[in-house]
Order: sequence, then structure tokens, then C-alpha cells
Amino acid sequence: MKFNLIKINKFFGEKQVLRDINIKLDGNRVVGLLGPNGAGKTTLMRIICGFYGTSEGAILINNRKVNSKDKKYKQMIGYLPENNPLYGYLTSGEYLQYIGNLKGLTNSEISRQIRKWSLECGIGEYLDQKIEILSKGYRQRVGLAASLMGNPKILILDEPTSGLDPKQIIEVRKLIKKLAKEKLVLLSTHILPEARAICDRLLIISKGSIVLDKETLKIRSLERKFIDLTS
Amino acid sequence: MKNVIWIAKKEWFGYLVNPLSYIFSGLFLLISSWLFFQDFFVVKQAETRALWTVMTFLFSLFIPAISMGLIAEEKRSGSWEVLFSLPISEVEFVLGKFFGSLAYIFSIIMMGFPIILTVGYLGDPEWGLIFGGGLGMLFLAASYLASGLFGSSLSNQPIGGFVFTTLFLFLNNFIGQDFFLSKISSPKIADFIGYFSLNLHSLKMSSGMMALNDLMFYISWIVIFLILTVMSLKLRDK
Repeated sequence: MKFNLIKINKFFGEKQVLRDINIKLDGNRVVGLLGPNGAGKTTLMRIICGFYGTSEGAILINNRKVNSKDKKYKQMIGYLPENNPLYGYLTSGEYLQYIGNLKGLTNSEISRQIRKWSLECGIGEYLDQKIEILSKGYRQRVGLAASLMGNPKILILDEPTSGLDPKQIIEVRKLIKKLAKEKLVLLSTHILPEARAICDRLLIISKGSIVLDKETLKIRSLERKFIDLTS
Repeated sequence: MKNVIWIAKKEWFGYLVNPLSYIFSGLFLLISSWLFFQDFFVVKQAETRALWTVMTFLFSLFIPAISMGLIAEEKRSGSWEVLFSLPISEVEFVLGKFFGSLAYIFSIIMMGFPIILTVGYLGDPEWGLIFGGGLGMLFLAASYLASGLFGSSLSNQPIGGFVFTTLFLFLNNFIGQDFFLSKISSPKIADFIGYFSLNLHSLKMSSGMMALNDLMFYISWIVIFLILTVMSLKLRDK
């Protein structure tokens, strides 16, 4: 699948937060979005997931222009925001059911996908437990499972390992790698070693513009490059 | 429109599992019964107009508290990001929130049913008046709720929604008061201003003067505030 962002600009009032963003993604892989705070990572992710529209520019899927607010487009997207907001009074299973309903899945499909994604994310035993009593790590897994409901082709993860302990981080990274075999995963992170460890390709964003777009293996000193390009 | 049902169901379920909802309902029943029966045996009239007056007053306090977090809490927690990345529209979201909360408020109004039964048992009330009053209450509550939903959409802190809605409803109540309207020299202007008071329409309905005009006023009010809420949500993009 080809997923292209063409000359995306985003303004809030008169303030421009994204400038001429051009990204061409092809195939199933993990693409990392790096950048300092306020660089525009979250805004870009919110545009891709359909929360925001673009001020200028276009999103193309397989060379066809799509509207990011369109329901069909949104069915192709799974999104896990940075602070992973959940409804504590629901059980994990009820939350996944709710998301499945809103994604327009049938009841049998919802049951099938809850089984599948809860197993993949390691929350199979916690489906009947209220989210508010789960640990941060398990809440993150619930959020990840929710973003996978509907089996989206594009998965957008904003800081998916923030706040997790080292063991949980390793497990989530493994899961992301596994998911990237059949999905395009776009993730943002602040942790450069993490980006190097799991991303096939890296994009560095600074002051609203893409300043580096390269295969991870071709970047020699990521730390130095990051500091040079974002300072 | 299935999404409206899912969101409304989840909202309704949220009230069912929240202990605060039961405290609200219990307090509402307790205060309304106490205030109503305080005068009921003195006046000795089998009518429920006093009940509707008490409910109107309590709604202006309770509904801002019920509605304050409906959207502000979703904004504060960030869950609206997840919701609007799903294939749902702002209209479906707002309608789901509105009907889910209205179902809870309807159950509170229904808690006044034993009071009505008591009035029916002790006297011979005019059931048409009682029905008109109940309907007026439902529309009044729905109008308060629509205003509260809009107030909640303006802030990402529930307390902001509460302050806005309480002040707004207080002002709306104020412009319908006799002591205010009597100070306006032109009766035409007084009538015009008074027309926008939600309470005046409900008072008319509970005194048996139910007119299509009043129903249309409430429906228009609800629709306008729901549209304003949708517009407020869409402004996130600007």
C-alpha cells in the first residue's frame, strides 16, 4: 500500500505549525517520527488519524486523494494517542467492544477481533477487569488492542512505550515489529535508541518541517544528527 | 445513526456505575419531596404545580453538574482524540452524549412519580395538567442539558462548563422573573425578552396552557444549542 502526504501545511489561526510536509511511505514497515517537543509530531499524527484536517495539501492512498475526515479512511486507521486515554469504569472487554461498535464492526467480528488482539497484546486474562485497576503497562496494552480493532492498515502510535517498565518496553517493541509485518506503523518517540531499535525508516521533524527522511540503517550517528538538525 | 446509540448507551452506563449519579438522584428526590410536601398539606390542593416549580429550581443546579464533564472531560483526558479518529461524526458524538444524559435525567423526573401517585390518592387532580407539567419538565430539562452540553464543549475543564452553564441558566431564569420584566417600561420589549426564558414556557405548560408554540420553542432551543456544540467541536481545527 502506498501512503503519501503531499505538501501538507497546517495553520492554527495565523500560526503555522506544519510546513510543506512531504512523506512517501510504501509497504508494511515501522516508520519513526522524531523531533523535539513542539516540533509538530503530534499535530502531524492527529492529521493522519483524522482528528485534524489539513489547511493545505493532500493525503493519497494508492495514488488516490482521500479526505482524512472520511469514514472509510478512518476505518483504515488505528490510533493510540500519547497519554492513552481510556474509560476507567469500563472493563477492557467492554472498551474493546465499544471501539469495535464505533468502528462499524458486526458483533461476531467484534468478538473475533477482541479474542485475537487481546491475545496478541497479552490482555486475554484481563478482559473482565475494570481498566481503572489495571497497571500502566496493561492499560497501554488495552489502548494498543483498541487501536487494532477493525484491523487497520495504518497504525499510528504516539509514544507507545512512555511510562512502561523495561520488560514491558521490550514486549511492546516486539509486538510493534510483529504488527509491522502486515501493517504500516508510524510511531513517534523521544527515545533515540528505541527509534533505532524498531524503526525501519526515520523522519526527523523540526519547527514543522521534515528535516531528515532516511532508512535507519543508513544513519550513522543518530544522536549527533538529531541534535544538529533540531537545534 | 448506530453510533449515536453506542455513545448514548456508554454514557448511560457511565451514570449507572457512578456512585455520584445515585447521590444526585437521591438528593434530588429527597429535596423535591421535602419542598413539595412542606406546603402540600397546608394548601390542601391536589395539584403538582408546586412540584414542577421545585424541580425547575433543582434542575438549574443539578443539570449543570450533570453536563459539565460530558465533553470537557473527554477533552481533558484526551479521549476525544481517539473518538474522532474513529469513523464517527461530531453530530453523532453530540447526539449520543445528549440522549444518553437525557435518559438519566428522564429517570430522575420519573422519580417524582410516587409524589404524583400520592397526590392522586389523596385528591382528585386534573391528570391533563399533571401530564402537561411533566412534559414541560422533560423539555425544560432537555433545554438545560443542551445548554450544558454547549457549556461543556467550551472548556477542557469540567468546572469551566459548570460555571458557564450555571451563570447562563441563572441569567435565563432572571429574564423571566416578574420583578425584572415589570421594570421594563415597554410591554412589547418585556414580552420579547420574557419569551426567551425557558422557565416561563414550562410554567405555561404546567398551568394547562400547553401550546405548540412552547414545544416549538423548546425544540428550537435544543437544536440550536446542539448545533452550537457541534460547531464548537469543529473549531478544534481552526
